[in-house]
Amino acid sequence: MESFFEKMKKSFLPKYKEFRLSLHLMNRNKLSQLSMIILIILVVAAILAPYIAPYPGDIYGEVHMGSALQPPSKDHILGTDEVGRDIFSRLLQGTRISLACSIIIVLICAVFGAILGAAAGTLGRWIDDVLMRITDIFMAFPPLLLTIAFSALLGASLKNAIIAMMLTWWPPYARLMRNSALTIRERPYVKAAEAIGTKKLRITVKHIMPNCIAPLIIQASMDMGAVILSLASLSFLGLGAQSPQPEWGLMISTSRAYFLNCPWYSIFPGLAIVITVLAMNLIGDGLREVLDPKTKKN
Amino acid sequence: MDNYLEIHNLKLNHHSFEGTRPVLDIDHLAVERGKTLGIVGESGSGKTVLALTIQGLLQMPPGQIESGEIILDGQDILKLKPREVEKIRGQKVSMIFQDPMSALNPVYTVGDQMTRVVMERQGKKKKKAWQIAQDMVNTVKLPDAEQLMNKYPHELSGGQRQRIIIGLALLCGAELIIADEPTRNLDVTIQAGVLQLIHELQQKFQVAVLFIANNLALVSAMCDDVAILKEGKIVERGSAREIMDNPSDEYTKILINSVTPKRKQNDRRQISDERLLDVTGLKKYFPVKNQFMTKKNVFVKAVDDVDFHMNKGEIMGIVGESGCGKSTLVNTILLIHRPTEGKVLFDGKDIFSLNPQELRKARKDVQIVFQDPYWSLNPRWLVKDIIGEPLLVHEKLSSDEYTHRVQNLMEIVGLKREDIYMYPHEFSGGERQRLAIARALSVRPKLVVLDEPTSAIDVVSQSQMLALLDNLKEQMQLSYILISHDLGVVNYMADKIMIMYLGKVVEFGDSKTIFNDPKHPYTKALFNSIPDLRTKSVDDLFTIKGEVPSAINPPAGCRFHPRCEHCMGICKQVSPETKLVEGRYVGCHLYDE
Amino acid sequence: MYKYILKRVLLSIIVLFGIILISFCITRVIPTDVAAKWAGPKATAEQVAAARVELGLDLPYHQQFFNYCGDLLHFDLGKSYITHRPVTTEIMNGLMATVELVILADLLGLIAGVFLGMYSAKHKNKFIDYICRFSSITFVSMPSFWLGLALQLIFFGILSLLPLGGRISTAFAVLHQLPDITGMLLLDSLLTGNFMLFADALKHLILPVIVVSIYPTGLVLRQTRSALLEILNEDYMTAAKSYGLKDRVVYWRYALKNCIGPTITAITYAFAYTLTNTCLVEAIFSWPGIGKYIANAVTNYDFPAIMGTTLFTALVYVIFNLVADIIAASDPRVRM
Repeated sequence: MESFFEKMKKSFLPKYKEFRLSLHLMNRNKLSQLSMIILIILVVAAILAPYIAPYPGDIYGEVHMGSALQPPSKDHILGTDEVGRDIFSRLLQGTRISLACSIIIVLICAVFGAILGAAAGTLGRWIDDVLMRITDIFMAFPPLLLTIAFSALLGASLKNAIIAMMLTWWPPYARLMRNSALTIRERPYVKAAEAIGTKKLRITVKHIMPNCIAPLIIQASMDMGAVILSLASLSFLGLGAQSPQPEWGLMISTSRAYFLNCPWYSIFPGLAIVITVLAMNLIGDGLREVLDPKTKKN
Repeated sequence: MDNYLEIHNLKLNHHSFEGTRPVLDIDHLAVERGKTLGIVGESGSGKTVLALTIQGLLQMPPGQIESGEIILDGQDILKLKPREVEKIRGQKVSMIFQDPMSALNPVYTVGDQMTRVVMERQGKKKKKAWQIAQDMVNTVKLPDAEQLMNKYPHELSGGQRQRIIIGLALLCGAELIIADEPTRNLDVTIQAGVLQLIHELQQKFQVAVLFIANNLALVSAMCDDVAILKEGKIVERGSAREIMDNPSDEYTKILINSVTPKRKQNDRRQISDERLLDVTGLKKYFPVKNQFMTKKNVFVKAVDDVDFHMNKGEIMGIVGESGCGKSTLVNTILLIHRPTEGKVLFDGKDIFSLNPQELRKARKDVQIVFQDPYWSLNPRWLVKDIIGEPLLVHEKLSSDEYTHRVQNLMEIVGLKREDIYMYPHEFSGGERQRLAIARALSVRPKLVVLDEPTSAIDVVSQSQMLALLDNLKEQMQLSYILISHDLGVVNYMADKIMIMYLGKVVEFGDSKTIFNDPKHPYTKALFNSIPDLRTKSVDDLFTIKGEVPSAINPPAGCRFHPRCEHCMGICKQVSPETKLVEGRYVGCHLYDE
Repeated sequence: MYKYILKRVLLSIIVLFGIILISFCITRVIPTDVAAKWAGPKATAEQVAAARVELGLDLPYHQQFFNYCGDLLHFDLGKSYITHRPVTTEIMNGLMATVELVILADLLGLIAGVFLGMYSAKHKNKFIDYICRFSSITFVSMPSFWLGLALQLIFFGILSLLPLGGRISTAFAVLHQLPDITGMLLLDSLLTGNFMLFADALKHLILPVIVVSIYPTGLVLRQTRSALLEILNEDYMTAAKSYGLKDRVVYWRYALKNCIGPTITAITYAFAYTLTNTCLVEAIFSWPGIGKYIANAVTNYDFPAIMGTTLFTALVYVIFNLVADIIAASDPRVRM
């Protein structure tokens, strides 16, 4: 008889092979390969931010009025802000805030939406109707406006902005999940499972949900970027992060007062946003190519 | 010889990031002016690629022509510039596509599309073109041409769409028409009519036809010459008669055998007198959803008052066209759907009155194998999880026992023991179907429902599959319900046969009796509308007028009466009872006392 | 067709009702005391209580909701905490400025997006296609407020070509009587034949319009391209070619009509984003529209103003969606 370990290895190996194949397919696209590298660098930067920042003290409250608004130089490679803090150090910490927020928001929204969508798709009847009308209503608001309203009413802070975003970002996931659940539900392997006598919950969790996950992953990877953008916009309006938090949108907002004379102060945080969001969108694009059955067919 | 189309040494490859794969390698192929050449090949043999290449429509890349020439009416089209090929299309060669739904543009009406072709090809003004198009609708024998012209493709039935497509191909005035499996997605009774239409119009318009199909019988009835295509190569060619009577290639012989599998000897089979399944008055109505602003409840009467029974050890065939309710019937028996009404006794138990616990146990005894081996296995699971799912649900096994059982099952269906750690997509169509069978057998059921088990797999695997099923039945003492539109398969396997039409049973009884002497007009028509190797010409085929009506609003009285040539007054009012006529049950007023 | 439109309209009404319900809930569930806000920071307890009665906050919830709906029917969105003027009036003041910006930006985005998308699809996998795809993704990845600042820096700060913000130069506003016919300066100046004003207004419009239109361009480009590519692979396209229709006819007549549906979906999304982006862009360019009004309201925690404008914009979006759906119904499959 095979040992337990051997069995685990045998069942794990094909899964690993599949993963390698997907990775290989995605790496055919040079842009998404590059974005992958950028993203890895960003994640590392985010994790290590307080330790690798050249001026860790500048990340939050320190003030060096003597070196305020200096252009990029050897000491401060991206210059300094209005109270003399090193912009590069603050940007590094900003990576941490943005990535963490977007991961938390997207993850929670995706899970919540997926469960709701799966319930709507598999239970059907009035549950489906009610849930889908609710998502319709949420999606009838222009995207950021409802979030602005929520976070304004909750009070301006990063925490409240995150809560407001969570309240408004789940509907697309619910709808995606529900639509694919409706398709998958009719697949013969689900019928076969029903004929076997598998319980409904097990069918939903083991058969339907794993096969609906692809569009969800694509949506999530695209949303990571969109969430970062929206969070920056909220902060820009004064609703998200509060000074002295080194949030990118907030930095741009503060820099507005000085931007004609000290362009670096506005430009670099913006570039950070663009690069991060672009990398995430490109990865989403690459994932779509790999996961979408339409493109995988041949 | 006056060849309209000649192909010499055509070599064509398919490029992808995985490497280059040869698709076509044809040394010689010719179609005479005004004659029909049939090409027989299975899916993946390169038939459609050939059809597209002849018209210069193949996408390149990934396609790439290595060498060869395609001479169409004296011109080598491979040497022409794209603009010149564009001129040849429609003028010299045109095509009838396989899938009538996707070959029509969904956002334009049928009339608009036909008119556009006339305007472009014949340079006529819009009004005149519309008239010509309408004449063509009449020519392809569609009633109510005027109304039909203003309809969108999705409002037509499959048969109507395919006739429109034939009309479109003729409208451009081409001298060679490529018909790429024109009847593949049609029901058999509709198929005969479409084949006859193509044949008739070919004579009338004097066009050459390149007829592509996967069925030898069909091609032999339609064509003067036949070529057999296997994996991109022509393995045999000659006149249709010659090949049927005297095949030289092994593959051709397999194809011929697959059309007429020899009926198995029934002697060695012991059929017990014990009842396994007894179905009485079974009904399944589906409510039609989302009827906006209508209060009335509308139902699709998918299965309407069906009675039948089978004994242990029997194989029962269910035959009927799509929409006749055969799948709904078995799904209801399997309790995938809740029945609207009726009673099913399985092994003496009334399965509709079982409580959930008993029901789950009872489900073990009835298993199903689906038609499509691609979607019947969860693509994200390993084979060991797929085959073992019933074991997991019904039996508590240790991990070692479990693996052992799964591996044994693999062996039983003729697959390798160690392949249980693979994904379904790593198997071929035939092997996937074996996996599906292994899953069905894992809990030792008493009855297995086979829903078109061979129709989606290649011919060579088909005969092996039938032999395997036969074997397993004896070994494991199974009973089968076999759903198939392939009468050859049913004739080969089944002891009993049931013919359904629009939710009703029209004839039910011993399969030999019914095959030898069908009684119901629909059964007769069905049996005679399918060409076999003896069919000399498609004109000999039996056709049934009209289309299968909608099951939402089925005809009153006998459901077959609008299409029946023996229709009497009573048929329009009273639905016939099934009664015993010469050893089988028939539902028809012709046999009333 | 009429049945389909009726169904859509009914659905929109349900959605609208839902929107009102949500916005009502938000305003009542918030942890801040509305009456205290209304009365101002220095108000006494009696003043707050009086404000509570004045605002109808002492009534039971269903009564409050009923009143809320009644007010909405009279286009009453409440009064601003800051100015104590009706929100409706303030929205109407900024409306046409925003309409001008949004219409121009969306039109630009639509035209550029569709055109580039078709071009890109036609030259699939060529260099130009890669450029288009990359720019479409870049366009949707850019924070509009940052792009606005960057453009201001280049065209005002460095090149001194275009003004920093506002709708017209201060000199004009002081010296001339501004025409007020439609409220859209560009149109009004043409109607009155005042070309100096036209040139000045246009100069002020260029940057905001470009910034707002970037997102729609990217979205529409991407959607048009992928829809077109999918359609070009369909059987009926090959069939049409096989009947001898010219490539040009097939491409323009057959493919484009089929891609109306997906493109319209992209436009509705794009429109939603422009509505949002205007808040940020108008704030950057001091454009006196609704967006700037929201941005100011947010800074001042002016809840009635925030909720009023949100509700108003959602209403506009619902109507836009309805119209888009009806246009998309020219594809017979949608109506089924």
